[in-house]
Amino acid sequence: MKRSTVDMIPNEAEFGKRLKTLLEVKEWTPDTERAFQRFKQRRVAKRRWVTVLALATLGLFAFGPTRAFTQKCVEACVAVLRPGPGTADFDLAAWKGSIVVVNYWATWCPPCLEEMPWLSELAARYAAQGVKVVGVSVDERGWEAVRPYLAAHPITYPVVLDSPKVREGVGAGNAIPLTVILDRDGEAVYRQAGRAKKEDLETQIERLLGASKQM
Amino acid sequence: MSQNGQVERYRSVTYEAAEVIERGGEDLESVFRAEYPGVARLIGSIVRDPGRAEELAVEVFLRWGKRSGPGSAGAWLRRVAVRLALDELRKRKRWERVSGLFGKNRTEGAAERRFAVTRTLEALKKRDVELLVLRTEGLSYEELAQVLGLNLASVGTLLARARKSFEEEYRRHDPE
Repeated sequence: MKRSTVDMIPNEAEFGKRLKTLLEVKEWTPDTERAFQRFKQRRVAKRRWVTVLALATLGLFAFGPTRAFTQKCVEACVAVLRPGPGTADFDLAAWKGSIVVVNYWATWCPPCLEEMPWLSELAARYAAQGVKVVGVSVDERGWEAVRPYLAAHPITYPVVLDSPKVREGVGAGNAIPLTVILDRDGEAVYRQAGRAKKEDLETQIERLLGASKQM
Repeated sequence: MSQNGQVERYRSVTYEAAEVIERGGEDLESVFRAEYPGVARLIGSIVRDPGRAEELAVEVFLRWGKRSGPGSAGAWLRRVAVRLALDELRKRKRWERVSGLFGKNRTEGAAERRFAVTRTLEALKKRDVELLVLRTEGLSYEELAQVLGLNLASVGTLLARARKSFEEEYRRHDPE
């Protein structure tokens, strides 16, 4: 049966060769690298829309961001809350009145990456008490480096890219990791250049929370 | 500690990571890099416009990212590529007809003849073009049957018919 279908087109190979010649486009090499960049951009843009819709739907069900929700949306939240160019507008002053932990990091900085899992746990634990944690990435490649990293290593707090406004708010230097705690007045009350200790941060946060309770 | 060295070391954590998670283990970036030139050239051979071909090729991969059908990635990507290219031809033809109403002359002569193959593809049935082009791209009968949703036993016959229609149509556009 199969044999007979092959017999019906004895000169198939020849025809194929001819069609190939007719179709050939000479002097053109597709630019794979550029195409891949375009592909990534469009994919992210597409996904951002999907994320916005998904969050809007979720928003209908969940009145406020619960802890489970926060953990689930990680990358999505980052993409939606702080899309690339928008980070320039991120202003720590907007969070004045809250205790804010600012953590400077980069995807190429191993000590920074070590801190992130426990910072993440800390952020989730103190979220209910109004403590805000924000990661500030100094990656030169910006979101291109940060987003995939976060997708592979989810965290519970938002990340922004480094910007003059954030630097101004924190008084950042050039070394990372850098962890700064701002009190409710926006004053930096704790500053740790280099690897920070979880216990130190907890002590500081508890102290600040205790202080505000007394007030 | 050189920062560049670190960047290199961590470069492996690229978009792939996110994609691998999303697509359940399939490596989108390496498939893209391996298949893109072929897909773009395939579209280019039909639409005869490198710039547009590259745009459409990216579109093919965006669709693939969403949902891949049966068969190998290469075969599926090529089927979508041929469909998008044919849609493009049809769109262009409509546009030419509209602009023809306003007296714009189409280039004649050499350019027209060079595109005899394009004109032929435009005139043929969509499935015939898909069969012919995908076969030329090296797809087996099994793959053709799979990606085009055909009965394996009829692929040979359909191909032979498609080839015949092509020859007739091509002679009409390029009498030499």
